[in-house]
Amino acid sequence: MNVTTNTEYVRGIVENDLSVLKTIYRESLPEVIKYVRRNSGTQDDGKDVFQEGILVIFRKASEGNLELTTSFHNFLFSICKRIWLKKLRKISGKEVPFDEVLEYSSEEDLEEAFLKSQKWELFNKRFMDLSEECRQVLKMLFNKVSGKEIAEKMGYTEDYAKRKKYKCKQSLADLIKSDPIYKHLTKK
Amino acid sequence: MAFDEEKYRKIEDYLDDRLKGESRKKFEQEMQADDELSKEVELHKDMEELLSDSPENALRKNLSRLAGEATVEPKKGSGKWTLALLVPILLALAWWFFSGDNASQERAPVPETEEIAPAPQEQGSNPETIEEEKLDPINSEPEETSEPEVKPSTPPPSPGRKRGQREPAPRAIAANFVPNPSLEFLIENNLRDTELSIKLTRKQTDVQLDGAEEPTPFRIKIQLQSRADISQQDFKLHLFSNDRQAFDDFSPISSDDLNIVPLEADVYKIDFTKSYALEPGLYYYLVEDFSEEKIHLVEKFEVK
Repeated sequence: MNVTTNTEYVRGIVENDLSVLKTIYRESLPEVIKYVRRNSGTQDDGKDVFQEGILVIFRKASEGNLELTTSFHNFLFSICKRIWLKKLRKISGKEVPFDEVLEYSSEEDLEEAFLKSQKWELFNKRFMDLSEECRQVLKMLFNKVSGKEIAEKMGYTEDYAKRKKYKCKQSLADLIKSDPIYKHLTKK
Repeated sequence: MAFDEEKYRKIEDYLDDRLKGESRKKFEQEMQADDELSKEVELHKDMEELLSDSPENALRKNLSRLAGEATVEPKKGSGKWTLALLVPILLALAWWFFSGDNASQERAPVPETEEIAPAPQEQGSNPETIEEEKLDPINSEPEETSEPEVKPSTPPPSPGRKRGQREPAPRAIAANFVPNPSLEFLIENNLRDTELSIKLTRKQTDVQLDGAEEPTPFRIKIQLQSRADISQQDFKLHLFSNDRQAFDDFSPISSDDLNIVPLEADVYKIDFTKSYALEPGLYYYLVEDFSEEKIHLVEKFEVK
């Protein structure tokens, strides 16, 4: 595989280029799913692992410390393989044979990464349960828009904006906290 | 306990680094002493991180979308795997289509109609008969009634599907006795499922071949326990040799549908018999929930 293509893949991930991402899914996902399924996992496990693999590349590349010495596909596959084997080892509590030297060794806390992805999924779902108005307010709040600006955009007084911010945030926090999945995720 | 507006502001100030010096220290001490508060702070931190329009979240959005789209083709695979699956699936679909019961969009009725009879009968038209057949312990393969001309030594159960897969079966597969590490690992990690309990009540025993050209009799019995109704679920038995490449490509020597028979409430059984033409060697069999793509059980036996 040529170097330009590798760069193109990585650029696509960093810049969130949907057409490149589509290509990556089309080209590499089936093999990862196949691998995971052969090793005690399900198709959904395979997809989760694949997503984590892409996020690992995203973070590495964003930090500027990603160097590909092999084809992109091989690299992504070896990351995913590693992620799945680690996860499998954790689930089964047994030693899983790493029968080859893998291209990628992760210093990242994979457990943490999986947890974050599950939270992302859940938070976005519950976020959609809020009123349109609350969603707008919170979007701005989370994107560090100032209280003053929020008031202006929404046509509130600054005082009302403060109260609204609090109300909306509380609704969201309550929605999330009462979700059984969240309880499960934060149970330590 | 609910946190008031004041507390929320404090959490915000803390996370945005506006809480400095003494008051920051004090707040940290407060968190240490109050588990609920520290969890709340964690939640707020996560909300801010995961719901902002950061590049990572934008990427997550697209990845989540693409993963969802990929579900539309659950059997997307490459090479032999796809081919091995496609043929029987197409045949089954074709059969189902021509059997006249194509009004329903669901896939579920397929195995049911197959089990009843190949004739274009109405779906579930005669439940008593099926029930009787299934509960009869002697008649372990009721679906065989569909093809009476076939000798019992090579039982090919459902029509259509089987035909596509029969081709590779009679070919004897060379194999030796070196364990396949991936499959050995799966054997050790059987029974990971919590919703479905699956137990081999009769394992396939090692086979001693005395004469050449003799088909290897294979029989397993499985007991399953599940809250959910699994009688219509699509279970398959895959037979592999110890060949690593074959397993890596997921190209089994043979794949067969397993007939799940309800026994009592939440309990089901499978009684599967077949003859394979096998050379001496080490073999593995896998029970897969085909619709969920989940391998539930792996065991092995030797042909000597």
